[in-house]
Amino acid sequence: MMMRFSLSSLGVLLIGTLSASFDASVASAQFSARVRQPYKESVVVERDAVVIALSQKPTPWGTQPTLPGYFAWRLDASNVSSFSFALVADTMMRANDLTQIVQGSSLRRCQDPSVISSHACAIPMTDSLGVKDAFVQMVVRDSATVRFFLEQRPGFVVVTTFLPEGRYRVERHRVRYRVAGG
Amino acid sequence: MIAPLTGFLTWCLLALLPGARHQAQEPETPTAVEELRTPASARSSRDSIEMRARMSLRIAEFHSAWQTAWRESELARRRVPTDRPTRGKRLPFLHCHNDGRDWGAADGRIEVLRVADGALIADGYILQEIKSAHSAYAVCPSWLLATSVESADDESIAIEGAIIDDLRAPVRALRGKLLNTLDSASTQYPGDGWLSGQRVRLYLDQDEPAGAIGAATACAAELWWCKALVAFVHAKKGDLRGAETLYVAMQNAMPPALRCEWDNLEGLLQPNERKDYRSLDCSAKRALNTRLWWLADPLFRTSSNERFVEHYTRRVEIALRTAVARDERYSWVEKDGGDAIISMVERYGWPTYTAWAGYEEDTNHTTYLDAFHGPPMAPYTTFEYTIGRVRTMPPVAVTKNPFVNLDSAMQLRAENERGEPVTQWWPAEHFRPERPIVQLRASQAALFRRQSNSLVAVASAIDHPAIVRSRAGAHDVILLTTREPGKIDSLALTRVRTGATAALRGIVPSDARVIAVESHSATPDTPDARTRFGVTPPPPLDSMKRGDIAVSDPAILTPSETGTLPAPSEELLNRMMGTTVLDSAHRRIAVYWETYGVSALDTVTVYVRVASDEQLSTVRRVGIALNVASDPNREVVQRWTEPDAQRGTQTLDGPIPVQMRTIMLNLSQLEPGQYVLEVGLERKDGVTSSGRRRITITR
Repeated sequence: MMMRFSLSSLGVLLIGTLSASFDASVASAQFSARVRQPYKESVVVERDAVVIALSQKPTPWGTQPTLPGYFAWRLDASNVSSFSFALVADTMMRANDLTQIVQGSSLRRCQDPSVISSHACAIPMTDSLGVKDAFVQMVVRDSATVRFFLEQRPGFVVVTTFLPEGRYRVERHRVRYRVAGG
Repeated sequence: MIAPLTGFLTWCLLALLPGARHQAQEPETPTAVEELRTPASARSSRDSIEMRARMSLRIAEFHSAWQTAWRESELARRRVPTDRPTRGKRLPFLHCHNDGRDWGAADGRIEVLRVADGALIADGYILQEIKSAHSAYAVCPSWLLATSVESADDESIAIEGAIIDDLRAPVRALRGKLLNTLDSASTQYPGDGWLSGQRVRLYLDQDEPAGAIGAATACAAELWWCKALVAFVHAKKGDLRGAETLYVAMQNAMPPALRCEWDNLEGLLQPNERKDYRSLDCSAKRALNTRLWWLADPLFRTSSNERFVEHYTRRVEIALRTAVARDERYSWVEKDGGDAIISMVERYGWPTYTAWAGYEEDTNHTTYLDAFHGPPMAPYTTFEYTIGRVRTMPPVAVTKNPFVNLDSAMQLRAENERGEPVTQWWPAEHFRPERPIVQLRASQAALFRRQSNSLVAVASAIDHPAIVRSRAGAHDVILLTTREPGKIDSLALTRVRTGATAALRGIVPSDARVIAVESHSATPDTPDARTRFGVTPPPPLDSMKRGDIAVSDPAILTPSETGTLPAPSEELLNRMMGTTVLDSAHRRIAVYWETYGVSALDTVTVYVRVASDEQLSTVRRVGIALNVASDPNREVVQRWTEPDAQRGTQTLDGPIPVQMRTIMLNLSQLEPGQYVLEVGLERKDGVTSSGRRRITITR
């Protein structure tokens, strides 16, 4: 590992050091105890399906303007062997209605997980898509996908939500296994 | 400062393109379902809205991939054991809630102090938050919070500096593919300013300036925006002069309302100056801006104003990033809290390093924001800047009369005795000049009357510790003067060695003005140095009437090795001391001054006095009376009557005679303290005149 820049090399005087005893875990606990958990997205692996719930918006607060653009959700698991698939709108939309967006989208597996264009993920997947409690509900029955989860058992997936005008959000979600041995 | 950018964002996204403008104003757009029934391939391929939507997704996908690489980089850094002590230190800056609750010392474990201006000090660093006007989100920019960062380069120079070595090549390859896609789109939509801007930004991030300049010069959108892009590339390439010229052209080509927004400097001012500035109309702001930029110029000797270029480069940077709503990490949507980041970048530029504390900390912070009805802004990071940056934007009050107290108002940064910047200074704005600049610590200036103008003599010691440490050989030192924006005159130039005193003098009109001394060394790492101050020259000899008398400022000179003085002449000013602080090695000094209106035959009493101007406390007076304390009011006085053949006075005859005088003084009997050196004349008829200088005697 290299040290590319340093304060000391710039001749800095670190003055008035009060304490380095700050305990990050205490602060974290303070936050966690005070506030509620707003997210409901989840990834649940069952014997023959992966059930995924995704929110539409990066912001559950307020309403997004109906801007023209593409919607996409990209799910990547890379802590074991890479795997990636995307729920991506087939066409540009001017919409803010989740049902309409889901109707115009299809779920596709990425042949090459390193390809960043969701539109380049072209392998059709067996799925059923819907909207439940303002969340996109995906039930993925694609055998390759289910097999991947069951064999590789990724603990987390990274979900990236893309909205029009370059908005996106990256989140990591724990994968729950509702199968024997899970 | 924030609102104008909203206007720009709207304009940039919706108004640059005729098609976009039409779409934005047309409410009867197809419904989502109708659009769904019409595949993109069946519609016009020249639909710029469609193109922009596709490119937005491509760019966002690249951004998210970059972010993944960056997260991996940060997680790798956190696995380094030496990183552990910095985590707790960084957390207050990362969470950045200046509400005194979460970081209070209730349990005695979190030591954060509140200081007078509402800021906090955490671990010796100022924790000054910039709040969003729309959300509970805030940012706390700071100096670098660790002495080193593993496997990181300065990302204000190249964004990939935030990525560890192993991941840079893949990221670069992804950006290359994205650029290919954008280039293809640009051949179909050369008039799309949004697309041109994103190509410029991404080519610069890719370290391909040729591609950036190609994209900027091919821009066929509105003139001002294309000029902004070309200027941006020039600035990033280090061509400050070219960038400044283009930014001025950009300003002139802007629609008036937009220019007013971009010219708003409110964010760069001191907090107590902002309200008055906000109340000014556009023309009044522009007039004030002209004077602000004049004095904000870091160095008058250079042909470009680096601070001006930096400001508009930051503006274009912000415009490019707000145009995509979210960049590689941060949301630039104002109502989500992006206004805090916009304000930070405008005031301080792009940070050097941003530390991320991991997914769990993101979740914690997001839930905190949620409790205050704020949208998530993950990833949450610190915003750390290399120390040693300078503030050059002057106080507004100084622009109204820069000829008074300019020197004390124009200090570049706070530093300790060793000339090192200190972490407990955090100004309203700062920037990092291409070459570091330091403030010359001491100087001496004196003014002398001439026939129709004035002679200004300045001496400055080129001995700032940072210069001495750099081991530079020689420095070109220049004396400059300016009275109004756009007019800077050089008066004299000299070359001195490190640690020596540069003594310069030049003729200036007899009106109030700014005087500047600036040094530059060819040695690459040696800081440039400057000092500037206001002067009000005395009236010239032309304006004196027969019978008037006057005395110049006294100039303190370094005596010769032998302790003798040559005949008085203007040339002696080459020996002016570069300071008015006299340490124990400088108890013997020489003084040069001039008298006006006294001929060689006139009878006058001449005096030189060095006397304390300190008020004595009662205790001290009692101590002096009891002979247990020294009397700092002891003074040194010499007084004589002329004509006196023993005095080596040099007289220049004329309608108003000028006499040049010197004297040696031994100040060793004076206690350390503040004194006034006064040189004066008393004529038989009771008419008197004197010149004064404040000096400090130290141990």
